Amino acid sequence: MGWFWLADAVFDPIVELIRPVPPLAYIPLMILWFGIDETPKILVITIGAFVSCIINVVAGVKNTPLVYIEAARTMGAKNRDLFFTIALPAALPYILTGMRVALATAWAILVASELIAAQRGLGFMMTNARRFVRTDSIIVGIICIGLLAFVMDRAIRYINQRMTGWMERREG
Amino acid sequence: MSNGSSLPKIECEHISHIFETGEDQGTVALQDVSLQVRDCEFLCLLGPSGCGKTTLLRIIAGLVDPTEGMVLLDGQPSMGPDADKGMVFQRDATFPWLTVEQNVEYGLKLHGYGRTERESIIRKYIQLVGLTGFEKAYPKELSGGMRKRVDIARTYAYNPNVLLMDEPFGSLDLFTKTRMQAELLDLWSQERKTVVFVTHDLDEAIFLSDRVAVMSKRPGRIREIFEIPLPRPRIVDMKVSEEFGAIRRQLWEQFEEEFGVAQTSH
Repeated sequence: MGWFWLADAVFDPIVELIRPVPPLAYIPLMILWFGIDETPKILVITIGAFVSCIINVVAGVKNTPLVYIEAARTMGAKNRDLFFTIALPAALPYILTGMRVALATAWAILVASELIAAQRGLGFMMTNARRFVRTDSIIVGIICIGLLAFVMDRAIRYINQRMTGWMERREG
Repeated sequence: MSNGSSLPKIECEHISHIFETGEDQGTVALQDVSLQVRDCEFLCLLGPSGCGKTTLLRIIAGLVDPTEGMVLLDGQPSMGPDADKGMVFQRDATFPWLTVEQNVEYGLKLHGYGRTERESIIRKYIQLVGLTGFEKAYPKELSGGMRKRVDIARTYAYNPNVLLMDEPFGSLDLFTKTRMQAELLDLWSQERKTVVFVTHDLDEAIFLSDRVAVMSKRPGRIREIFEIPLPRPRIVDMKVSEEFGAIRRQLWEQFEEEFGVAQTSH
């Protein structure tokens, strides 16, 4: 979308239409259509994660420094080469940041949708515990959710640093 | 490489270029520029900033379409950037996500060189620009001068006919700059190419060139072309020779007449 104008023209309005709606708002609709199984959760998470990621990716591709594009063009690169060998690598830091945001969003949606409707999972366990006034279980649930989120975020940050070691950073 | 034919390598024919500025007229950057560059010659386009020399170079490179006129390469109309015309930019254009050898390899990959062939070419040019030992380094680990060497090696490696250089040493300090000039001439004497080199540095132009084309004030035209009679190989000591000084004075007079530097300075 950041590169091919046709893709931009087609998908940008769609993304802009979906983006303002908080993903959780889709849950009731998804439950009606797909029940309280895993499918609706996967769908809602996909929408939420995709939307929060794509903005970063598009921005990254659009911000590819012109001098790299021109240098590649003078070496004989065609539009396709430019996209895969220049725009994508140049946008990689943006893409990875987008993925980090997307992961956090996905996690939030997952827990929330489990709280609303599920047959298993952490969220389900906590709603269940509330019914039986098991405060301890609820607190354990909160801690688990926090820990898992923390571990996942660290993991993606580690991948990020490994893959973008070429970047000039302020800190060492 | 020169086959003795008198056909010019690059011909700019009546090139004019107008930048749209939103006003009625736009800015006329170049007006009716015609220029012939001989095969395997080193030609400098000399002028202060804003005189249109970079625009002319970008037109030759095919990165900018001229408003009027056309560029011929080997007598054939040349449009758009292609692998015949390699360009070294003023700004740092090494790809930061690739290592030194991957940068040099980039153009080779585009043109479908085989793996073993690529490796030997990469080794050769990395050695020629004196970066042996830095093959696996990323540009962020290199100094400005070293990055320029990567740029030059990368452009030389895929063997374009014509080398276009847009103030490549403009951001380097005097010492690095002088060394890079000597190194460039060394490389060029080993593998002759037609070079068009844009600069605002009088000494640089004289030291490097066979001919210096002095640009005029905006709208840019070629004011005059000087043959530089200094013998080759050129060595850095020549910069302080009497002959060099005489050429320098002659060029400076042209500059003075065209741009009136002394009158506007204080």
